[in-house]
Amino acid sequence: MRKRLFETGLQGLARVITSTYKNCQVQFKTNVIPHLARFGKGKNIRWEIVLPFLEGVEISEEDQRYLHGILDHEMCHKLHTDMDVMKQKQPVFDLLNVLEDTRVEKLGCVDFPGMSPNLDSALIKISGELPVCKEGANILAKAIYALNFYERNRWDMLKNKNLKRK
Amino acid sequence: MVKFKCRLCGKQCHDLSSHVEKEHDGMTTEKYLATTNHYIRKLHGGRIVSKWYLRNIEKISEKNEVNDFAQIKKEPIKNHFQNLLKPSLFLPDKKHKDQLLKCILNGDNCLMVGPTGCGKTTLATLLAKENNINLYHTKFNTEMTVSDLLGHPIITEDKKIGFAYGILPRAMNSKACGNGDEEHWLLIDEIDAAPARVLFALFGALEDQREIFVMEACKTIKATPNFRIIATANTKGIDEDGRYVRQVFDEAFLDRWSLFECNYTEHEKTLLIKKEGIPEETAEKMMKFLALIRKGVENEEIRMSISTRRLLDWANKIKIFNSTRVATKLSLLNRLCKEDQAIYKSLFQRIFAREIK
Repeated sequence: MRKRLFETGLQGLARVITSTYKNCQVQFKTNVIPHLARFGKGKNIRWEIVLPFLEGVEISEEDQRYLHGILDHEMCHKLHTDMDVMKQKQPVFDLLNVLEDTRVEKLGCVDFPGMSPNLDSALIKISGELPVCKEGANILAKAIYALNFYERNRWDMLKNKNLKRK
Repeated sequence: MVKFKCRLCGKQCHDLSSHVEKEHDGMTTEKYLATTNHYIRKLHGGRIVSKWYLRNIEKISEKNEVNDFAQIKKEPIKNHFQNLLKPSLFLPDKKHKDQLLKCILNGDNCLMVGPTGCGKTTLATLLAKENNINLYHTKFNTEMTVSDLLGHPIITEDKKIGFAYGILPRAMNSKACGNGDEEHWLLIDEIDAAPARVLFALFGALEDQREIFVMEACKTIKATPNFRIIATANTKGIDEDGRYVRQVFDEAFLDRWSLFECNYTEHEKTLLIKKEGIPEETAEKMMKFLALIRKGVENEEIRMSISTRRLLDWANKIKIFNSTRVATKLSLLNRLCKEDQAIYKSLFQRIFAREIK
C-alpha cells in the first residue's frame, strides 16, 4: 500500500474514532517515542498523535499492523485517559503510565474489539522475544524481565476487578 | 370530445390530421409534428413568445378569473382520508409522520427536503398504499420539458393526430383525460432537478383552485377533491454552505408548499432487526459504524455517508452472502474513493474485528 495514502487513512481514522476531527493531527517522526499530546485550553484544545516514521514509499502489511496497533493505543488514551491526572513528575508518571496503558487498552478493546489483534501485533514488535532471566542475574535484569513479563501478560492480570473504567 | 388547436393557423378542430392536410397545402401529419415540435421547444424554453401564445395566455387568465371568493375555499376532505391517521407506520419518525398527515388532511401540498435515502419516497408510497390511494410516481430531471408534464400530440394507430396527456393532468383528473375514474396523488421525486419552466407549469395544480390549462389540447383540467401533490428533494437548491447545487426554489414556489425537513430515521436499528432479520449484536455494530461514519461526514473528514437506503442494502447483502466482509465491500466500499475506503476499512476492522483486504 502507498505510504501516503496509508498515513492519510490513519489520520482520518484517529479523527473519526476520537471525535476530534480538525483538532487532531497524526505526525510521523523519527527517533521519538510514540505518544499523545494535548495543547491549548478550553475550546482551543488540539491533539497530536506521534507515530514512528517508516522509510520507503510502500508500506508492508507487517508495518501497517504495527502502526495500526500504536495508533490504537494512543486512541485508547484519548478516549479513556484523564490527561490532568497524568501530569506527574517522572518516577510517578512512569508507574502510572504502565497501569494506565493496560487499563485504557482493555477498555478500548471492549468498545472496538478489532483493536485487540492490532495492539498484540504492536506489542510483539516492540517487546520482541521475552528475555530469559538467568539465575543470579542482577536487579536491573530482573526488573527488565518483570516489566516485559507484565507487558506480555497484562491483560490476564487485568482480570483483577480492582481496575475499572474511569 | 377533445378539440385540438392547430399551431399553424390557430383554428380549433376535432380532427387535426384532416385539418392539416386540407387547409395547409402539402403538409403531412408527420411534417406538421416535426415543424411544430421544434416550435414547442422554443416556446417552452421561454425564448420566443408568439401572438398565438399570448392569445392563449389571455384565455387562461379569463378562465381562471374568480369573481366569487367562496370558490377559492379548499375542497372538503372526504372521510376516507381520516384513515391516514393509522399509527402503523414507523418510517420515518412518528412526529414527522403525524405532521405530514395533518397537512395532507388539510389539503396542502407537501414538499419533503432531506438527504438522499432517508425514506421520503418510502413514506409517501406507504401512506398511499396503506390508505388505498392510487399514486402516480414521477421523477423530475434536468432535461424535463413542460410537454413531459402536461402532455404532447401523438400519432395514433390510425395515423391521426391525438393527444397524450402528461402525468400531471392524468393524476389530477383521470376521468377528464379518459383514463378511468380513480382519484390519485402525485408523487414527484427530485423536484429540485427540474428546470424553472417546469416548476412554473406546476403552479396551477398547487394553488387552491387546483386547475390547469393544457394549451396544446385546449382543455382545462380541474383536479378531483382528494388530489394532492407530494414532492421530494435533496436540497432547496442551495446546500448548507450556501452553494447553489440545483434548481433554486423561489419564494412564490415555496409559498405553495408545506415544507418538511427530513433526516435519517431514529428507527434504523429496528429496521435492521425486524425488516432485514439481522441479529441484534450485528445490528448494534452496524449502527456504531454508521454513527461514526455520519459524524465523520458531518465534520468533513469523510466524503460519502451511509443513507438509510444504503444501510438496508448493506443488511440485505449480509443476509445474501452470509458475510459482513463481502457485504461491506459490495455495498459500501466499492462506491468510495481510495481515501474514504482506507477509513471505512480501518473502522470496519476495529468494530467488526474482521479485516477487509
